[in-house]
Amino acid sequence: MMEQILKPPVPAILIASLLGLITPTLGRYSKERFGTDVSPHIAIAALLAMLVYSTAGVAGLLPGGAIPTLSVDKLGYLFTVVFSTVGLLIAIASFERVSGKVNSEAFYSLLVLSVVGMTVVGFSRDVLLIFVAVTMFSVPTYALVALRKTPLASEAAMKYFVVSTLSTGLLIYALSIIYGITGTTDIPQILTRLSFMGQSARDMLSIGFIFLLAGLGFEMAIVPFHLWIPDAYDGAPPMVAALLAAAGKIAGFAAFIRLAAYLAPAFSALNWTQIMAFLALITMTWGNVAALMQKRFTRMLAYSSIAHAGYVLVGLTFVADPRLSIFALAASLYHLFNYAIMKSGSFLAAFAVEEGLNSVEVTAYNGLGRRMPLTAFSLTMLLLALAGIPPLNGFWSKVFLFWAAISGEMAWLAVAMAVNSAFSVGYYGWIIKRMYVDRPEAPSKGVKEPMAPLIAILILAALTVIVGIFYPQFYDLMVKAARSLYTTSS
Amino acid sequence: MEITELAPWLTWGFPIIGALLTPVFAALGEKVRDYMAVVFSFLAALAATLMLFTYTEPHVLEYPWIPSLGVTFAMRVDPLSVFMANVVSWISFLIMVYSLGYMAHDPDRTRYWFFMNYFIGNMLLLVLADNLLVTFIAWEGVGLCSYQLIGFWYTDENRLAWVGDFDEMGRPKKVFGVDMTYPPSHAGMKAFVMTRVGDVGFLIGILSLFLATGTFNLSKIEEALIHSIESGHGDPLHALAAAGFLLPAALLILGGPVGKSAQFPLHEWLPDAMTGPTSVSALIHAATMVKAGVYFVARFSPIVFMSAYLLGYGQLRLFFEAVAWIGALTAFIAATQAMVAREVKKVLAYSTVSQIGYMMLGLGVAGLMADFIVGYFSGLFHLMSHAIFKASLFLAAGALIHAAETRYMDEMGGLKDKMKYTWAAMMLAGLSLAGMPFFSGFWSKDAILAASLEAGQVPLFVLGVVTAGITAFYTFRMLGVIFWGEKSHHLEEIEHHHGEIHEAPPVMWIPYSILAVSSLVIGIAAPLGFEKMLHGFLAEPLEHLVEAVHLEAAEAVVGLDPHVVAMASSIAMFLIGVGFGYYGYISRRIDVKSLVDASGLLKGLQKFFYNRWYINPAYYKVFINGTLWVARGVRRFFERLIIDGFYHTFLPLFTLLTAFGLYTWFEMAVIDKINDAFVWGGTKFSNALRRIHLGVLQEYIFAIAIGLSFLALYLLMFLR
Repeated sequence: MMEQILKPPVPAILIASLLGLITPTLGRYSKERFGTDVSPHIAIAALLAMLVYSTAGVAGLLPGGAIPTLSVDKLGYLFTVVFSTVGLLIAIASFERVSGKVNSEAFYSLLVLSVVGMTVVGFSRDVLLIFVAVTMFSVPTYALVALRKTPLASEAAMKYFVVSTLSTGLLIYALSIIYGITGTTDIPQILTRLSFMGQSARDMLSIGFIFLLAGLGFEMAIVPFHLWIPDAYDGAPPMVAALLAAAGKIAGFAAFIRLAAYLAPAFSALNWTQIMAFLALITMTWGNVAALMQKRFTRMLAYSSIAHAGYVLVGLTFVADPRLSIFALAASLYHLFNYAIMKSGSFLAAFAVEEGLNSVEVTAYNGLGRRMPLTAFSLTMLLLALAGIPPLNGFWSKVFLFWAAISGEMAWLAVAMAVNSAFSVGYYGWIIKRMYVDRPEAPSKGVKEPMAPLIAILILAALTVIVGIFYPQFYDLMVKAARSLYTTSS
Repeated sequence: MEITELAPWLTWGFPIIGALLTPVFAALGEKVRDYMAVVFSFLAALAATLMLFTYTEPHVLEYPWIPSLGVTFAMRVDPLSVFMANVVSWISFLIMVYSLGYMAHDPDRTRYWFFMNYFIGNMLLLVLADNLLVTFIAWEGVGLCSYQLIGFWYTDENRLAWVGDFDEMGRPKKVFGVDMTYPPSHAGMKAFVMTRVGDVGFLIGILSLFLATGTFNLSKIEEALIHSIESGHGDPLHALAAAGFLLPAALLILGGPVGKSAQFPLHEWLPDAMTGPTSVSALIHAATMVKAGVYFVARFSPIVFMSAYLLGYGQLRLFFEAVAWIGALTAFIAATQAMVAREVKKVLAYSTVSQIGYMMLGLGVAGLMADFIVGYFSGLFHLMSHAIFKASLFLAAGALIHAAETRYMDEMGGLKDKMKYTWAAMMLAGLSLAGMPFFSGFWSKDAILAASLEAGQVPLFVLGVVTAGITAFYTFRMLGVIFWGEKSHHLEEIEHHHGEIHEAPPVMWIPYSILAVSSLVIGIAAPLGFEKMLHGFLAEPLEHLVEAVHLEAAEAVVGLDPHVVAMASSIAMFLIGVGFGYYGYISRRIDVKSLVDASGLLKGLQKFFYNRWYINPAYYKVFINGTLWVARGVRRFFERLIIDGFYHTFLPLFTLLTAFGLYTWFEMAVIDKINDAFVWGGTKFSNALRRIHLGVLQEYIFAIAIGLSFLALYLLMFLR
C-alpha cells in the first residue's frame, strides 16, 4: 500500500490537493489578511510544482507503468502539463483582481482543487475513479462561475449546475452499464473481458456508450449537449471561463479518450466512425455559425470553443480503426494542446480588457490596438492561431486532423473542416479589424494595461509561435502520448 | 419505380404531404392554403383511381423498415384495398370541396386543413397497409385526428357546437346526476379515450399474433396458413392455440374495430362526436374513422375463416358469431335511439352506428355460412352505399344547421321551399338510407339480410328486418320534421333578424347533391350488372377459400329462396316504417305527441331510448365516477393516513424527540448557527433559482434528451 502511494504522480496529487484544502483555513488561524495575501502564492507554488513535475514526466524522466486505478504514462503527464499550465497562468493573471480580497482563499483553493481533479481524470484507468474525478473537478467550478455574485453569474452557475447534474447522472448510468456487463471497473480489464464475450454483450455495451457520449458530451461541448456553454462562459468571470474552456473541456476529452477512445474497437455494434463524424460535423458547424452573430466577445469565444470541440472530434472519429488510431489520436491531442493555449489566452485577454475597460462587448475592442497595444497584439496572435493561420500552432494541428480525415477516407469531413475553418476567419478577423482599424466609441485615451493578465497572455501568445515553429517535436510528443494510451495500460 | 408501385405511395402520401405543407401554404395566403388542401385530397383520389385502373392481380409491396426485427413496411394492393381507397378518397375529396364553403369564415383553418388531410392520409395508409404495425400506427393517427377535429372548437364557447339538451336555465341536462350534454373538448376526449379501450386489446392481439407467427404482415400470415393447409404441417397458429390464447387473441383484435366503428359496447362515443364542424362528422361517419373498423374486420376475417374451417380451430366460429351479434344488436339499439333524437346530426349519428351494425352483421354471418363471399360482399357493398348516402346526409345537415342556426330538428320545419337543393339531396339520400327499392341502400341492406338468412341465422335476420323498419321510420321522421309542417318559432325569429333563409352556396350543395344522385345511380345500376361486377371484383382473391370449405348449407327457411324472403320482408318493413313516418310527420294525420303522451308504455320507451338505454350514464357512473372514487379513496386512506401520517405525525414527532435529545448534548449556539446557515443558504439558493429563466434551462435539458434519443435511435439502426 505504502509503496503504491509513493509511486510517481500520487505524491504530487496528494500534496497539491492538500495545499488546496489547507488554503482556506489559513485565515482562521493567523493574522488578519494573512490568508488572503498568502493564498495566491501557495496556489501558484502548487501549480508550478505540478507543471515542473509533469514536464519531467512528459520528458520521460519519471518512471511509468500501471498502478491500481492509475495509468502513469506520457498521456497522463501531457494532460497534467496542460491543466497545470492553464491553472498556473490563471492563478497569475487573476493575482491583482483576487488577491487580498475576501474571496481570495476560496478562489485559489477551488482553482487548485479543480486542477487536481482534472489531473486525476488524465491519469485514471478506472471507470469509478473517472466518475469521482469528473465530479471533483466540476464541483469547484460551480462555485467559481458564481464568483462575481452578480445575478448573471448566479444564473450561469445555476444552469451549469443543473445541466452538469443531469449529465453526471447519465455518466454514472453509462458506467454502471459498462460495469454491469463486464463485472470490472478497470478499463484495460474491460477490454480484455469483452474479447471473451459474445455479440450481445457488445451490443449492450453500445447502449452504455450512448449514455457515455451524452454524459461526457456535456463537458466536451458536443452539440446538442452544449447549450449551457455560452451562458456559463459568458456569465462567469473571464478567468474562470478560461479554466472551464481551456482545462475543463480538455478534462472531459481526457475522460472520453481514457474510456471511449480506448474501448472504441469494442463498440463493434455501432458505427463509431459514422456517429463521431456526424457529431464532429454538426458541432463545428453549429459553433461557427452561432459565433458569427455574437455581440459579446466572451460569448463569441464560447461558441468558437464549441467549434473547436468539433475539430477535435474529427480526430477521435478514426480511433476505432487500428491502422489510424495512434495517428488520429495524436492529431486530436495536438489540437487539444493548442486549443488550451489559444483559448485560455483569448479568455485571459478578455479578462484583461474587462479589467481595463470594464466591458466584454465587442464594441469595447474598437481601437484597442492603440489603447492597450500589448494586449491587443497578443490577442491578435491568439485569434490568428484559433483561425488556423500558418505558421501558428492552430494551423498545424488542423493540418494533422485534416490529414487524418483524408487517410480515413472521409474526404467530406476534411472538406467540411476546411470550409468551417475558413468561415471562422470571418469572426476572428472581425475582432482584429475592430482592434486596429475601427475607432473607439468613447474618446480614445490610453489605459494602463493590467500587469498580471498581461504576463499570462504574453506567455501564451509566445507559445502559439513556439509550438507552431517546433511543430515536428511537439507532434512527436503527441504521438508518444497517444501510443502510451495503448501500451502502458496492461 | 413503376406506376403500379408508385400509385399506392401517392394515394396515402399526397394527403400527408398536403397536411405537412398546409402551414407553408398558409404563409403564401389564405386562398392558396384552402385550395391547395383540396387539391391534395383530389390528387389522392386520382392516385386511388390510377390504382384501380392499373390493378391486375393482388400483390404486396415490401420495403425494409426495421431490419433487426425483420419488420418490413408493406402495402397490399388487392381488390379490398383498392376498393376502399377509392371510396375513401373520392368521398373525402367531395367533403373537402364542401369545406371550402362551410369553413369559409373560421379563423383557424390552417389547423382544420392540416388535420383533415392528415386524417384522410392516415385512413388511406390504414387501408393500404399490409403490416399490422403500420395499420396500428395509421389506426392511432386516425384516432388522433378524430380527437383533434371533434374537439376542433375546443374553446367550447359556441353552444351551437355542443351536443345534447339544455334546460330552461341553459344548464346541461343531467340523467342520474350524469351530464348528457357535452362541449366539443369533452366529446373529442371521449372519442379518443373510448376508442383507446378497444385499441389496447387490438394491440395485445396484434402482438400475440406476431409472437405466434413471427411476422406482422397479414399477407405472410395468410401464406403461412395456406401453406400449412396444403402441406399439412407447419401450422403457424399452433403455439397460440396450445396456450389457449387463439380465440382470446382473435376477440382482442376484434376490440379495435368495435371501438373504432362504434359498436356495442363501445358505441357511446359516436353520438357525441358531432361537436366538430359538420364536414368532420361527414368524414368520420362516411369515409374515414368508423369505416376503419369494418374494413379491418373484412381484412382479417379470411384469416379467421381459414383457421376455423381449414385448420380445424372450430372455436374461432365464435369470432364470427360475436361479430354478427354485436352488429345486429348495435344496429337495433342505435336505430331505436335514432327514432327519438331531437338533433338532426344525432339522428344521423345513431343511424351510422346502426348501419355499421348492419355491415358487421354481414361480415359476421359470412363466417357462419357455406359461401363466405356472400356475407363478405354484402358488408362491403353496404359500406360503400352507406358511405355515399351518409356523407350526403351529413353535408346537407351541415348546410341546414348553418342556415337555421340550430341543431334541433323541432326548431326547423317547413324548409322544403326555402332550400330546394338541400331538400332534394336529403330526400334522395334519405330514401337510400330508408331502403327504398332502386336505391343503393336497398340492394346492399337486402344483400345482408339475405346472407344472414342463408346462414340460417333467423334471430339475426329478424333483428335486421325489424331494424330496417325502424330505419325507414326515423328517416322519414327526420325529413318530415325538417322540411314539412309549419315554420318553427325559432326560424321566424331568425328570419326576423337576419332576413330570409336561403339555399347554401353551390360549393356546398354541389358536393352533397353529387353524392345523393350517385346513390340513386348505383341503386339503378346495381341490378343491371354493377352488383355482379363489384361482387366479382371483390370475390376474386377469396374464391379458392370458398372452394376449399365444405360447409353444410343451412336449411332454407320455410323452403323459400332467402333472397325472395329478404326482399319481400325488407320492402314490407320499408312500407310500414315509411307509413308511420309519413302519417306522423309529413301529412301529420297522426298526432304523435298526444299518442305518446297518452300511453305510459310509449312514454317510458321514449325516455328509455332518449337516454340511450341508460348505457351512457351507466358508463359515466361506473368508469368515470368509479375511477374518481378510487382515486379519492387512495388519497384519503393511503395518502392522508399513511404517507401524510408518516410525514406529518411520525417524522415530526421523531425529529422532535431526536432534537430534544440532541439539544441536551449540544450547545444552543451550534444548532443556532446551523439554522442560520440553512436560512442563508436557502435564501441564496432560491434567489439563484428564481433568476433562471426556466424555459431556457428546460430547453437545454430538452436538447440533451433529444440528443440522447437521437443517438439511441441511431444505435438501434445498427444493432442486429
